[in-house]
Amino acid sequence: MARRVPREPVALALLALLIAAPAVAAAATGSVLASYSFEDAVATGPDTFAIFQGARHVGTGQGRVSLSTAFHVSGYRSVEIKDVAGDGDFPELQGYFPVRRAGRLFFHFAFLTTDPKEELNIALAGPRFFQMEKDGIAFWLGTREGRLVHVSDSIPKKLFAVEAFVWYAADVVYNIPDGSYDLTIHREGQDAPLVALQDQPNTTRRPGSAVDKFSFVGSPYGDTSNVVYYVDDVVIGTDESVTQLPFVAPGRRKLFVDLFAEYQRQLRERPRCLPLTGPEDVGISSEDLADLAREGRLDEVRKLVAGEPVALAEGPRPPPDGWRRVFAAVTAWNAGCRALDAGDSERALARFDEASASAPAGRLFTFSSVIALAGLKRFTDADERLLMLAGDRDDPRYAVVAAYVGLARGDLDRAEAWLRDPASRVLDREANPLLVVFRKSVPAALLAALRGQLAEAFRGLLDETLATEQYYYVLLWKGRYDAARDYALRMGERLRRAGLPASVWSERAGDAAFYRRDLSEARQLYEEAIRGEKDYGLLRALYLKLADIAHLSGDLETERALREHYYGALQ
Amino acid sequence: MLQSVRGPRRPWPLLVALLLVSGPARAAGVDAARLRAAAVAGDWKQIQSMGASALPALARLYEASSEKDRATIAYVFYSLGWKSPDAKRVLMADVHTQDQTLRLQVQWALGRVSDDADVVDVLLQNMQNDPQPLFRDKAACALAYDQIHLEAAQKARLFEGLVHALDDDKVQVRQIALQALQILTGQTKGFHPLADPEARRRAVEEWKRWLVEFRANL
Repeated sequence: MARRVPREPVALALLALLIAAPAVAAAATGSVLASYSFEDAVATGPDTFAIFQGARHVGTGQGRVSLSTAFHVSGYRSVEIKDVAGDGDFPELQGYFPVRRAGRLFFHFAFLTTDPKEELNIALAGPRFFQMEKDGIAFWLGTREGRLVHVSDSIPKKLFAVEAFVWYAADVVYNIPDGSYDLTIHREGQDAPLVALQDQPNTTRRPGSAVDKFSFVGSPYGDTSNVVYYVDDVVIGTDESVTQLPFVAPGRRKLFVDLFAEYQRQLRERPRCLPLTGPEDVGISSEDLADLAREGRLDEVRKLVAGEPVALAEGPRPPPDGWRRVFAAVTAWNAGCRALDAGDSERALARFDEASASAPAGRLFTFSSVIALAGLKRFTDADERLLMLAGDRDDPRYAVVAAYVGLARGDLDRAEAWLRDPASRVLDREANPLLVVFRKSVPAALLAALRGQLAEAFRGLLDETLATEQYYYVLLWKGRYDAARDYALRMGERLRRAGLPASVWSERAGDAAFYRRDLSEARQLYEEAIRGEKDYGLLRALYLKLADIAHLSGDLETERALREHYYGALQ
Repeated sequence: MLQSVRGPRRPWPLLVALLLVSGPARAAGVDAARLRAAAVAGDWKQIQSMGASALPALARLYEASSEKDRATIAYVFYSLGWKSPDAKRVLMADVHTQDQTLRLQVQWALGRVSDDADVVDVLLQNMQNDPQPLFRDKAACALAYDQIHLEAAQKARLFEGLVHALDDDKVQVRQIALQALQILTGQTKGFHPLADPEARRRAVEEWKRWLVEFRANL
């Protein structure tokens, strides 16, 4: 009888490696074999190990493995695994660590699924991959018809009914010589474990079954799953301490107020490039990433975003022009960041412009150029570029960079003056068309057209348009949250009187209240913004902020309802 | 157990790909001539592109075809891996055929078009009782690898049949039943097909205890 071929590892470097970091303190110990929390710095764990994303990529796959800020346990990101039934392929987060043939292995991870009825599978396996045999699959957890099961002694054994949008933290202590494991699972917000099993036979009841890899997938063989789930804080170690991570009710996203503070701290130290938070920041789409993975080029990408000089190798097939442009862009951006670090804004700007020209979709290049322009006191140019980034207003990097420009120009008192003057053009839609278009990113072509149309008035109108916003962000930067909230409320009122959409300013007033941790007022202001908003993207951001407030208030039920509202809106 | 050779047209990577292919995508009108040409050529990918609506016509074509072409069409059913009552019905009519090529393709395909209990039953019967060792062996192969639509409760029935076959008088049947169990569970429970009856009885008792636990977890 012919045997099935094991699920060979497809040597696709994990996307998370591009931007992952060992965010847990335990990762600093020598007993850690692998540790991933999927945060923003380029780093790997302390020992020699590799982590890979495996997927068959037979050409029909529609699923994906990607970083997500929507949900997380630690830090502010997790990995999202999305499988698509019937597409002939499956996405996989597969990691490797040095083979363990003796002793105990500690495996910690957290997962959250959006639909428990959709199958997912999590496993530890050995050199024989995911075969049902010795040195094959050793630990296997999965969902079946809404229930979590662990496959022990070749029997799928029920554990509990899984709740959607709830984080579960699993700790496995695998006793390799005995071929058994202890399994503990905690639900977020509960101290007592849901599951506390001991001495369970491993998957095939095989003593001495070695392990060297872990895997997170949907339905790899049946191809019947449409699961979307999230994985965070994957830690493999040989010491129990590495898996004893705190697991209290986690935040779903890193709060934007915390990110603002983090980026603010970075820019306060000196002008510098703000961090990459996803491949799309540099113009790499998820499709590009999948193609790069198929070509075995993710290691080159990893080096590239780590700032290393990388020449795109020719390989068996010449790389497409788009990849060359992105590689050239990131290389130029890296050089620009080094120049900015060295205090040479002029040279930095030239490299950022070069990067933008090579990969116009790379918004991080534009963010960086705004910082360089502020250093050169070229505020009109900085404002123009901020206008092009306006669609990213909910990115805390936008807020911090806008504040940075405002601080650099240092003459924002006029923003108050405009507000005191009812006849000010800044609130006159007819006089300042930039206010109408500014709700979203302004494409370069439209900006050029407006510049031509408005002629001499353009510069002043642009200044007016952005000065109010920068004034608000500067107030936040300075910690004057009450003043920021009041200013936002007054701006909103003036815009409403002028017949302009004001929900953005309601949201900003809510943000200021949030910074002040006045959650009740923030909630009220966000709800007001929601009532006046019809844009899908802006509504989604507002609902997520309401969910954050519910989370901070300890109202997990409301938080969950809001998350599901957000998630449903994505469908 | 005899080693299976499913023919050069099905190397493992392809088989793996086939396992991953499911979900009849489109239900467009079926061009009979195109369907026939693709079917007798074994071009399952072309038929896959026609969608599930092609299956009833493909089943009718199967019924009207020669044994040689039926074997090829059975291979198409296998490759598609789509559940189909029509496909199951026509394949079941050939599950005892003495045409070697056709029999093997039918046995392999059945579990990939149906999760009905009688499919598992007939394969278990062939595995134990067919006069030809080759057919018995390939029935075990089908039970081990190709019952892709079975839920856990249905698998219990399969496991029960395999454990039952461990008591068979024929050494080969005991061997292939054990091998199928080993592929599906990674375990032997200490069973050896050539061991003395008492040792075998003790190991079978282990399997039966395991089966009780398996059912208890359904």
